Amino acid sequence: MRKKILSALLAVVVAFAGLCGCGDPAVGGAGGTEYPAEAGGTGNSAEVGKASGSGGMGRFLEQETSFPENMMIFGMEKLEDGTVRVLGQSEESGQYVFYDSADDGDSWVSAGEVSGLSDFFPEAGAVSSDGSGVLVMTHYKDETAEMVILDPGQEARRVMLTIPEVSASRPENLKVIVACAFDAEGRFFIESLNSHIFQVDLSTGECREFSDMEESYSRNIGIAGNWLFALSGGGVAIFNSEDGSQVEDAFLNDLFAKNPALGEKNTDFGAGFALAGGTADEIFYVTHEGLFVHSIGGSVAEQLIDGALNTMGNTSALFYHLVMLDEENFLVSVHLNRKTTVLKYTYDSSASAVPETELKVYALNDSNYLRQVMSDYQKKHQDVYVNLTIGMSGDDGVTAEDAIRALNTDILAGNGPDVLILDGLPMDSYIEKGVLADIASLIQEMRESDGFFENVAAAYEKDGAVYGFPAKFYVMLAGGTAEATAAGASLQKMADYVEASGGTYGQSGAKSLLQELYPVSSAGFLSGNKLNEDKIKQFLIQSKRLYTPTEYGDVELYDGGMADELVGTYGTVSILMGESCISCGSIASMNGLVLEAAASAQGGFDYGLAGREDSKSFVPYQIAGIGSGTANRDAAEDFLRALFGKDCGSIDGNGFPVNRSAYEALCEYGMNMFGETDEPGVSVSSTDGTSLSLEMKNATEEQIAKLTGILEEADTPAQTDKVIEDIIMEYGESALRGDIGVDEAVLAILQKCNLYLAE
Amino acid sequence: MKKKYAGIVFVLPHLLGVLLFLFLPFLDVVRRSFAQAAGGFAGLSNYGEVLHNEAFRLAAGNTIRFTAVCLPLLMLLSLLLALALYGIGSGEAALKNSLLIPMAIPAACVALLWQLLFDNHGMINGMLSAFGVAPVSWMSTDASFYVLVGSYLWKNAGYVTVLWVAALDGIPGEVYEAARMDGAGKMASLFFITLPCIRPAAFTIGVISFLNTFKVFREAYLVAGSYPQERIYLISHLFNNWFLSLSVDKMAAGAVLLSVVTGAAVYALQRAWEE
Repeated sequence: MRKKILSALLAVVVAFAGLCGCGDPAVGGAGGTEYPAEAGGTGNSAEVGKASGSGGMGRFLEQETSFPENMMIFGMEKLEDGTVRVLGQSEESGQYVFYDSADDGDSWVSAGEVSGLSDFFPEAGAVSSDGSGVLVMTHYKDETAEMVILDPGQEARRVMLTIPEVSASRPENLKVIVACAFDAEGRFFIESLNSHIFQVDLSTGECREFSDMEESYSRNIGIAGNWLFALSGGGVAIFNSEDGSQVEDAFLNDLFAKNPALGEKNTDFGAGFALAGGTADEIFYVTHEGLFVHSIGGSVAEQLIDGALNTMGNTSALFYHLVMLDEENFLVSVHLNRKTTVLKYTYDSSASAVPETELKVYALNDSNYLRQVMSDYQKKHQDVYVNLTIGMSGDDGVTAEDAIRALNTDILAGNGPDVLILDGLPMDSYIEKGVLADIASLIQEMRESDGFFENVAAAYEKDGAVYGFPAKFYVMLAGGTAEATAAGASLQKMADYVEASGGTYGQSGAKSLLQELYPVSSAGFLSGNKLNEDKIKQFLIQSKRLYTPTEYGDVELYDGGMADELVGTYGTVSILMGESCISCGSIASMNGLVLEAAASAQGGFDYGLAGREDSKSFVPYQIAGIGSGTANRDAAEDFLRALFGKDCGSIDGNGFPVNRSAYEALCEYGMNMFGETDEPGVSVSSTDGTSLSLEMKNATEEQIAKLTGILEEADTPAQTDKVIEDIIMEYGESALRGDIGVDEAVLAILQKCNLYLAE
Repeated sequence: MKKKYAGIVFVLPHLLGVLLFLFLPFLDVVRRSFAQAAGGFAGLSNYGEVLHNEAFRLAAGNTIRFTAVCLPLLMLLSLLLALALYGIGSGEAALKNSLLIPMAIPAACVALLWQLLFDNHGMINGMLSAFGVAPVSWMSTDASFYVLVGSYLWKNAGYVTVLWVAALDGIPGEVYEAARMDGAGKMASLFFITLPCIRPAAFTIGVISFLNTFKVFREAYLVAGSYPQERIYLISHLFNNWFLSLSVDKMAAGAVLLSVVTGAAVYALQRAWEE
């Protein structure tokens, strides 16, 4: 009997232990000082920003400060007297300027310009707590490094750095400085390209090796208080900057190991991570997940600010600096949408911890554009909490079918999302089943205010109703020499041209090749409710003719999970490099256009809409609709206004906006991309070491007009049904690799697709 | 009387479970089968649509064909195995246990095994090529049906054999002894003692095997996905795909039809056995 009672008790204990163990062990109080925290969720890639602590009060609210526009920020620091000082450089005049804020970032005044640095091109910079600024620069020509010490209103003091000849794998890289930082006591550290960290004597420029991080490939350092962080893609090494001792911090190390991008510094434009010192052993850090406090050596981090509720969550944002003003105020300098801003986060105890209105947004795949829109919307609607669910986060092996099944279960249970991003989802079926609401009035309102590419918009209007509408689209181009451009009119002509010229289409894997060519031909694959056998057969035959595997077999180019991956693959650089004789791919940004223009200028190349003789197709991107069961129709419409609108649409990349005003703003940007004088050169290299320098220029009116003409010409959406695409890809790959014949592949495709269509 | 109530108490949890998790949801399925997907009464139109649906007809035909081929084969094969095993004495238990191994292998592993065996570059084609035979696309041709049948037999034969052996164990040894004394041979004992005695068990075994035919979908799905070669496109594939496209109306009508047919088949089987 005793045994039975003991067993029963044990079972109860185990059951409760299991239930209690469901929480995230890495989230919780950091210990030490109590900080005002908001939503308890840390967010994750599958269900971003899902807050667990609903119902409570108190949240950090974001506010954009009045920091001057068009400034590049090198350093931001809270000085001993409480003033916040920023060292920046005007993007227009190139002048270095100090800006001070005596009211916690609410207003900024110039503390003085620094002259005499017209020949100084810094790699990095920092501001110390006593208010001095330092910029470091590498002179590549004579392999030396120099720093300049700046004080407001004073002449810059230039000091050559004396870097000791320590043991290094590539000694010449010791003088290539990639990062620098001050610690709380004013000690100055630099890091070289080959991951050696030096402490610098500011008066003499003498450098003393602090640490050799070559094995970890560190390319960035950050300092919080007196903790120096050597950041890399594989982890983080933390040193006491005073005595050089290293401390272990498994939590932060795991954070960097799991998110390698956090350790990478994007030259000139910040990083995905910024640090600030707190009290004693506590540090603050900001990532796209939000702002956290952590005790060095501890095993947890407490989330103070949920990134999903503000700009932090925008994956396009890069952080320069984080400054803790006090427990309830933080400043973060970020680079976002081609401009640098300083954001202030202030704790508001009267705001609800999580906004009371929750807007559920669902997308099968993650995308930078959606994140940008979400962040923009969140900033403008702080009373709404956007809960983004990504069906296939890429972390958990969930397939598209698994994700759709889960979504459908939610819809049937009445818990469907308010906004659906329909890319990859069975849109036609959802329309038929009444899952989507008619958004024709919203589209009409935006048509009247901004206008649309009507060739694209028309494809989504049926009998006066609109259930899904694309925010962006891109087109497939084919080009090269005049003959190649003419051949791009159809896949057959492309294959004829490649064979006649004795060149190749380019070496890519069977899957990648089919992914590139599918949007060119797929618009004609469906005839009514049946697959067109001839078109499928021609597609596979011509693709097979264009397929050239490498001697090592297939090298696939697009294997990741991001939906943005295939956007912007057109480029004639490969022709100039001798890697191919014709280019075919998508053009999806002004950056793509100017790069292509630079390459075309060298070879006298041209381009046209790929496959235009078969069908003039475009690829819709970020098709969005509103769930018919939504209780937040107004919020959902506002979200779509942001998604289809001018502000987000005019951000370059991820396709061209269907919104005409946004497109015009984008063209304006393209024509002034490099200012009037600053037109950079770009060097590109091929796999065999051939390199090529391209001179980038602003887009011209002619180039814009040509692009616009092509975008207006495309009037048929490429086939976006994922089931059909997957079946064609599966058998197409086998046919291209020679595992099965083309006829056999066509037969299998027809059988399966027609079965699908018959359902 | 006390005994009677005690029985009800024991059965009650199960009955409640069936009521909550099967019967009530099924009533909702019946309701949905008469409703439009977007809401509103649909009458019998969902049934009409399903019965005219090419995919449903193909899937239903394949499922019936698969059941018609597999069920007799499985019953016969496993009975022969059981008769061979029965009474062999030492080693019977070990052999019975080994026959259950396929049942214990997870569907994902079976799918992996299929791929290793039946892929274009798989082991079977490798062996065939050693004899100069051209590779066969096992899963892309009509051969896939026989692969599915083979898989079903391999997976279920052991389990059903054990059921048959249990039934054989239930026949009293005295009956065979008396028959032997009366001069009956082995065949006479089989036809006049063994088979009649295990007939009640055959019904249960038949129903279990019949219901197990639907479970073969897991392996077929894992190997060939939502759209396999058309000979192995079963009702379960169609239901899975209808759910993906949120065709709940058709799915509900199809499910009611399937329940009616299955129920009728089991009832007919029972009547046949009773007679």
